[in-house]
Amino acid sequence: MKNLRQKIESLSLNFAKEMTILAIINVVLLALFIGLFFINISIVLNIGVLIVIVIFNIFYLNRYNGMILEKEKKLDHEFIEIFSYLRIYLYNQETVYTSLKNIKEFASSKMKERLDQLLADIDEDKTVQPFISFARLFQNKVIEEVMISLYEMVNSGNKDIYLNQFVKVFEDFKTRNEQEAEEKRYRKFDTLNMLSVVGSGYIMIVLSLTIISLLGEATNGF
Amino acid sequence: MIKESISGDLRKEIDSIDHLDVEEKLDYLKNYFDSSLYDFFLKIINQYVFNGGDIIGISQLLIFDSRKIETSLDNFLMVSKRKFIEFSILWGITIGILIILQFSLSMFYESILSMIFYAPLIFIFFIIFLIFLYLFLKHNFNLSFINEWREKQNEKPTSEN
Repeated sequence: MKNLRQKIESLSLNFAKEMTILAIINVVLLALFIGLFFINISIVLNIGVLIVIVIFNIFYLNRYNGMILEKEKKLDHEFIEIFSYLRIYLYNQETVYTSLKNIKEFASSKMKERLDQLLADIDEDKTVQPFISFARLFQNKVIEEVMISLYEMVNSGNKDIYLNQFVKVFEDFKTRNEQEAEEKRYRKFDTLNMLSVVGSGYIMIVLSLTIISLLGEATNGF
Repeated sequence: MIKESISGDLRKEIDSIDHLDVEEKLDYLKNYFDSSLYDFFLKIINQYVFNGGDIIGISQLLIFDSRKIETSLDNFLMVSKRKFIEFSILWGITIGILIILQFSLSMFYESILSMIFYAPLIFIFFIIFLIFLYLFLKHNFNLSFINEWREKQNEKPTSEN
């Protein structure tokens, strides 16, 4: 239960409110189940309501995992967005440290928190570790590669060769991500158009049923 | 010259703030461009105003990024238009079959209508059509990918400076 609370709170949602909504819906569904049980309409209907209650609870409690995953993906996108600005700062002769400080202005509160931690860690530890720890907070493993190439710049004092290396690694990562997102968008169009065939199939079934019934009426008179 | 190449809405916006000086105008347009790219553009302008330098050189990568977004937006609009035509043809043919049925089987159409299952099944068909139309249009006009993380997280970037 504590784990669920942590999940809900990590999504900036109110645990008490979420549980109240869940309880209210469950009470309504249970009242329906008990009502149907006493009216004794049909056992199948009772079992149906019971199945709905179970499915609803599984879905409701599991959707937080999906929401957390979605939030993490958004942070990966945000990383790409704000590190695009970082590379512009670097190109304009700013140091890695100053650039990281500057991009905080464009970051969401969660990302800002992570950047603050990174800057604090860099102050304490001059090795590659803070960069790796920062990268591990993200889902995409390529971010680690990007952060290592950023560290190499710190270590070498913004030499052009390391700047170009960082820009190349970052650009490849960015392009690959953009391509994937673009393909996903276009695939959704295809899926929606493909599913439209369901409509054609459905109408064919309706027509077949109609024609068979018509023929039945005509030949047998029923 | 630049004014001629911009959209009508933006031109109206600029005309309405004609009395302001350039910096104030740029700052005001923050409300029009809901993108961190514009915020960054303002940063670069400020950097140029205070430190000088080669403005084209400083903003080269920003121009590159905005061009990329523009291209991706153009591609999306092109594909969405094409897919909308495909979608219309698919559903057009299906609905066309229903219309043809009404005219070609006009002799039997009264008896078809009197069938107990026909009207509810056709009603369900139109419900399915409306659901798909809604999903398609939602995806078709969804341009949030330009500013995805910012929009969905529903929080503005912090400004501490």
